[in-house]
Amino acid sequence: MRKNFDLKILENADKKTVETLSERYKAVDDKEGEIIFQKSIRKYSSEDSFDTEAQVQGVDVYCRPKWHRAAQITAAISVLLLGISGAILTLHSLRGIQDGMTNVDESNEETTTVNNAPEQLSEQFDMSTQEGIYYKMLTSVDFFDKVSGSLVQSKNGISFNDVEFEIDLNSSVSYSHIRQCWISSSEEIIDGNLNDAEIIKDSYDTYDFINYSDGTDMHTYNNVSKKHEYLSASVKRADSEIIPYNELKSGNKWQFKNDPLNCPYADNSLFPQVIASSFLADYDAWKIDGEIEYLNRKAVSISSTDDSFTMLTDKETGVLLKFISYTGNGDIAQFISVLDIAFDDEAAEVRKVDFDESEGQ
Amino acid sequence: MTHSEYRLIMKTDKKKAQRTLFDEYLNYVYTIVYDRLRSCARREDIDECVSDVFADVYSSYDSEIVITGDIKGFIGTVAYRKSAAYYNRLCRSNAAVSLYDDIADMLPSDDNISEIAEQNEVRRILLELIHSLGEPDSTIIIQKYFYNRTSREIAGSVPLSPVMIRVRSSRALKKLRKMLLDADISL
Repeated sequence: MRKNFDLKILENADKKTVETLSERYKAVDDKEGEIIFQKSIRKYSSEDSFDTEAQVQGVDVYCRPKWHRAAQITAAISVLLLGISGAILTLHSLRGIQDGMTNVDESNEETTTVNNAPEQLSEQFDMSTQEGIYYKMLTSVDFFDKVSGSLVQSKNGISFNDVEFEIDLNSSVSYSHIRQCWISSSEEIIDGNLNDAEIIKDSYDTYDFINYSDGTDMHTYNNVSKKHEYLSASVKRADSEIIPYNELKSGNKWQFKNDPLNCPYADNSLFPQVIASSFLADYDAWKIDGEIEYLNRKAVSISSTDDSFTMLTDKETGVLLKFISYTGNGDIAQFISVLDIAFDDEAAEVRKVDFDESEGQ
Repeated sequence: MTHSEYRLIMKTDKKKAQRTLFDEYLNYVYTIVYDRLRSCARREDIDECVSDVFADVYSSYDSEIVITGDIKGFIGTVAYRKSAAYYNRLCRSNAAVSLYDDIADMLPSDDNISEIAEQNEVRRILLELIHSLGEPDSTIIIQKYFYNRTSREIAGSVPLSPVMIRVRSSRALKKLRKMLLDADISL
């Protein structure tokens, strides 16, 4: 049998090898890099970075809430009482949802516990609980079919992206228009006062492009250089498997879902699995502040217990409507602010881009 | 970036200084830490270690300690020491056998200097062979067989679909195996 290939020889390598590796190859992608950066800032801000015990114990471990045990015992008794036939039907319906199928048995409607219609899936997540919020944010793309709107975001408080998006998940078609600008005041940008904000260096003219998924391929078109490039194959919704609530609750290690938005500059808001897993996995580190009306939608307000971040999460979909993280000094470290958003029937149709015509302009 | 450049940015905008330093040295630090902990630590532990390294570096500039020399060397030293500490905590408890007690022991001893030199030469040739595959194949090989990333994860750093990455990975590996055979290198 052929031995599995492994570059183990590069382990514990000499400095020259390590330097060559680091210079030639990207070791970590942007999302993971951002998570590490936020962690480093949090550790630095909490002034415990020299506490080696704390460092090693700082791994995010999911602690299941105590009421889970009671819920599990109750669930176990229920399963016994239901008997074998009920169990078979339940398992059958669960398997159905895992295969991305709608599985409704009309004669046994009460035994069908799950369905992949967004509104029915959504009801399983109790947004008055931390667990419900966390899981819905990890799977937000399961709760809507179409979305359109605009947002601003900054990963560094120095520059921000102004993003307009239109997405149809079922057809894998998406359009987004991204412009970047340098700023001096995050507060004005977060509130959407783009015209009032003091813009240090207006780079709209140099950083302005369109990302477009035609359902098969992802393209990008630079509005400045008039250059069109093929990016990658579009991610299909079928490639982003729906994860039933009971599976989320099973305590298995969370794996990131495939991102079917095909809209990388809006994904941290529309599909905030990275931010959720980074900031919300530890239920002791944040609290629910209440429910508010925001952008004509019901939103749940969340804040960290150490004042390091605040979030507004859409109650129906788990989409992140607003997110602000702070440095130890109270300055804004990064932010995402949705300025307007519409889902499903209210969402705008995805505009069609003809690159031949665009290139000719 | 130099120490004085970092301190200069820090005077006006600490946040910007930390971000700039992080962006510039993340790859370097991550590679050092991963290289040391690859055999026994989980990805989460490696991320924790890397974030600890940067938190330590930021804190060092807040202290009265005078930091001199090359900033890359300073950051690298913090990274090597921190990853060695993690190794001792995580990997020893996993009953892994370490040839090295701490970073100082990574220096070649008189006893095995020729063996280590030979191994370093093999690494150098291996990296050159991988490099000769060209992009994106060389990145795919390193990401898959050194960083142990899945095709889906690699799709985040290479503009190809996971399916295409699997196809290219298979072809590139076949090519690399042949090159290694020709160079009389066995892994």
